[in-house]
Amino acid sequence: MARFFTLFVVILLALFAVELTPPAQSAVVIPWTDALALISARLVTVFDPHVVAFGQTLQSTRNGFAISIEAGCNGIEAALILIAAMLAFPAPWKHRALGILAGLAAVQALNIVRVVSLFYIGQWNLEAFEWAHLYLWQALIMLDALIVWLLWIRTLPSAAYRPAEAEPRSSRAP
Amino acid sequence: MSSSGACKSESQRAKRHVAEADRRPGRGHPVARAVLAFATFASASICAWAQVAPNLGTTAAFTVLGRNSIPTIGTVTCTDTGPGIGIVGQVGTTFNAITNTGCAITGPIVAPVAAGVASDFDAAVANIDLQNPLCTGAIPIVTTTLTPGVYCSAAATTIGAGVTLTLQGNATDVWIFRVGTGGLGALTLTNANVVMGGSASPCNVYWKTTAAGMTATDSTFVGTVLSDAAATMTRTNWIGRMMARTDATLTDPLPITGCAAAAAAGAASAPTLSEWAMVMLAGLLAIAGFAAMRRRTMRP
Repeated sequence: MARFFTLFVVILLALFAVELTPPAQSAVVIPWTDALALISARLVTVFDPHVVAFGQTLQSTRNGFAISIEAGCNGIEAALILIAAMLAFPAPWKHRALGILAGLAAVQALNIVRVVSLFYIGQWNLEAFEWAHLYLWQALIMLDALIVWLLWIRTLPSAAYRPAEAEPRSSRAP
Repeated sequence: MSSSGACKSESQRAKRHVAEADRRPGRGHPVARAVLAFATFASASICAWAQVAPNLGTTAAFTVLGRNSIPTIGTVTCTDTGPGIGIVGQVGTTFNAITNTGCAITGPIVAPVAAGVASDFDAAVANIDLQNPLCTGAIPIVTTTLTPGVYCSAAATTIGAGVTLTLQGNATDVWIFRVGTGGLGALTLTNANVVMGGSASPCNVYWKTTAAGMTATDSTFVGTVLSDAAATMTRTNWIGRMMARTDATLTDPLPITGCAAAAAAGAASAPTLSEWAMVMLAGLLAIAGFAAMRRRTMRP
């Protein structure tokens, strides 16, 4: 268990450090943030033509309200925490890969729903926007990641990590 | 700001010249290689000063600006006959009031503006030509997609019904449109569309008319207009800025949304998880992981 905790912290710090480097920012974080605004705008324009996206900004042409999807708004940090936990937990690599893919999809899909909902809540009422953004959606994103994590653990074969825990010097991968 | 699109094409062209020269006999000739190296350098140098966004100074905060040197009533006029939505952003005039008949204005009205605003407008109008002397191509009047660059017309330009210009690029790309490089040029849009493509920003698009005005009717438009005379819009959806050396007249704006409104005051940031939430999520996952491991190791 101590091994899981140590690995979790080390991988988490490493992933966050990599995320902050300029190459990762220019190759992944900024393009994904732009894409998130674009995906959100495309989804919204299906039923509302008065929306435009430019850069990381999603704006209503009806009333000018805009939300800016900045670094930290793109769901990447939540996904990194989930990925670090899955990499640290003793499990077969195939399960890890599937879990990471499912986790990324779940977190990012919910984040798109979050962005779109906040965009409309903000147009309706700024106080409700603040409350939803500061409390409601943070809790829902955490719950989403936690549910994915628990479901993933349940799908693991029961013997996946027991030998490693029982025999710490085993050559099994972490 | 400069765009990378033109630079890429110029340097790619230079690289092609080098590659073609490499395939020719005597490719190693030092003079030939020096000439090609100079061509590559020259291409890169041209790129370095392609499409420079003008410094708007204190005018950048305005969505609509009327700058009559002799301030008169009607320097800024907004009329909503019913279908309009209004002005989203700050409105400025050199007169001591604007003429507003039913327009919803979401932003402060500055009347009169400080003297520095007028001089910053003059500087921006003068500098946009000086900073962008080379034209990438002519301003198209048929439906097309434009990469970032400097587009010019010697005289007036009319973008007519059904025409759509798509400005395709990324968030830092810049488009400059110079109308009337021959000395006189008005810009007219009627039932036309100028829209952004990709992640490009309407706040990086600049239009400048020369000794003439700008008119947009029943159109969708993007960019900052630096009109050397009047600017008039009717039933037009516009993201950017409308700035006129004389009068700015809006009828049923659908709306006009300023860049400052989008980028600063109006744009709310929406972080997914705050610092404490990230710590809490990591803690929850760790606790759940511990619990699962403990349960499984205790299972017979």
